[in-house]
Amino acid sequence: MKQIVVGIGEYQVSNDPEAVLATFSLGSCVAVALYDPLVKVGGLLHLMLPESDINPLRAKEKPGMFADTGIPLLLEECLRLGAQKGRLQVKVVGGAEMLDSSGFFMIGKRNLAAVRKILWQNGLFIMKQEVGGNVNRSVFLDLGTGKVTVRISGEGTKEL
Amino acid sequence: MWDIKEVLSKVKELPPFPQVALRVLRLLAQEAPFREIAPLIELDEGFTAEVLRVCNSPFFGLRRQVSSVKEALVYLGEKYLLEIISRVASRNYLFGEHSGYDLRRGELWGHAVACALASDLLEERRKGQRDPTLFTAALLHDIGKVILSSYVAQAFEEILKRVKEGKGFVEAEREAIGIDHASLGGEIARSWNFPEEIVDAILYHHEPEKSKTPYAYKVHIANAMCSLMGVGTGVDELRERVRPEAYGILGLDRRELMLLLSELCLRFEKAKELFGLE
Repeated sequence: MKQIVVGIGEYQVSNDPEAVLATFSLGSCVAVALYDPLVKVGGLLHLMLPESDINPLRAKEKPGMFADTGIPLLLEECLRLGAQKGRLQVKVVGGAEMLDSSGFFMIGKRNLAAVRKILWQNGLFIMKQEVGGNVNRSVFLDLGTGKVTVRISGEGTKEL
Repeated sequence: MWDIKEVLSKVKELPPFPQVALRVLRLLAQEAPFREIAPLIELDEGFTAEVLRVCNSPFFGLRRQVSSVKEALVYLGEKYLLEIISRVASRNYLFGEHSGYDLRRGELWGHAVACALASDLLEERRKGQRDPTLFTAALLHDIGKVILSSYVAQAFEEILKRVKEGKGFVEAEREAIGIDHASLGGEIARSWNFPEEIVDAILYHHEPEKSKTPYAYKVHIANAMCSLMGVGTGVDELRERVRPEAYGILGLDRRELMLLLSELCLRFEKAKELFGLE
């Protein structure tokens, strides 16, 4: 098994059935996993913020950092490897918050709202999700089986 | 509950913070000239080697080899010197795995560096320049975790129970173990003879309202930024309380905060390249 690690604000796509795409410690970031079971093509994006107009200059440098620039790129790369939109399984993980009574940050919620909107605009629908709350999550997408495993810090792992 | 004396006795077992580093950091905070700083660095082989390595790295793109500390400091400037000295001095304490907090090898160290960079971003937007004292405080804010990690592992069920009752993680640590990582960190900084501002910022980075200096609020928000970004967030950081008054005190609105987060992501990446964090 090969582990391909996806960093913050990055995405990886592959059609290697031996590989596992992994991203660690999401915090309020959101991981979007796409998988086409027929051709065994998958992609994983680790986005950090909702919209690229927060920092257009940096969005050019690192489009994976934002939901609105990252998701279309992730989709495009999966299609380029032979995935078909109608077959894609979409899973979303992360978007947690700190205990913030002022609701000032709420970046997790904003990220999730943006992810849903951008997915919808691209004709994609969330099949499963493990989101929100005050827990830290890591995600693993097995490209041989399409299985998505979520590890929750201090609570263990579960299949999504 | 544990015997606090036993936990505190571990503070003395930590290797002392390098005195050369402490003196250089003090001089940097006083904006002393490089001619006073260079001879100090030359006293230490490790610092000298790292100053020269970074100065001669492709990042700076110098056309010739620099071989003296004095000359290197001219190229590096105060900014990089501060990073090099505090990083070399702190790395060994923080780099290891801290499984009580569910931090893999290197994760607490990454969190420390990201928090220091975040504190820089907060300071630059207000004053146009960094504050070496704040940088060091941010870098070392979680030093107490190094000792407390094994106790957290043993008391984890008890801590989690209290967290589920609505307590912040740091408060739960205090109740379940008898001391929390911030208080312990303050003890460590004090035993290393750090200035009171740094001790105070470490001590109160989760309870900045108890602090008498402005540093604790800055470290508090810098820490929250890194925790949300997912750098060294571990099992605890999302279960900590963010003080609602902190944003007003630092004059931050949500949009600016998100802008700073995007800058932090890139700065952290560059730091990883330059300093070989992995």
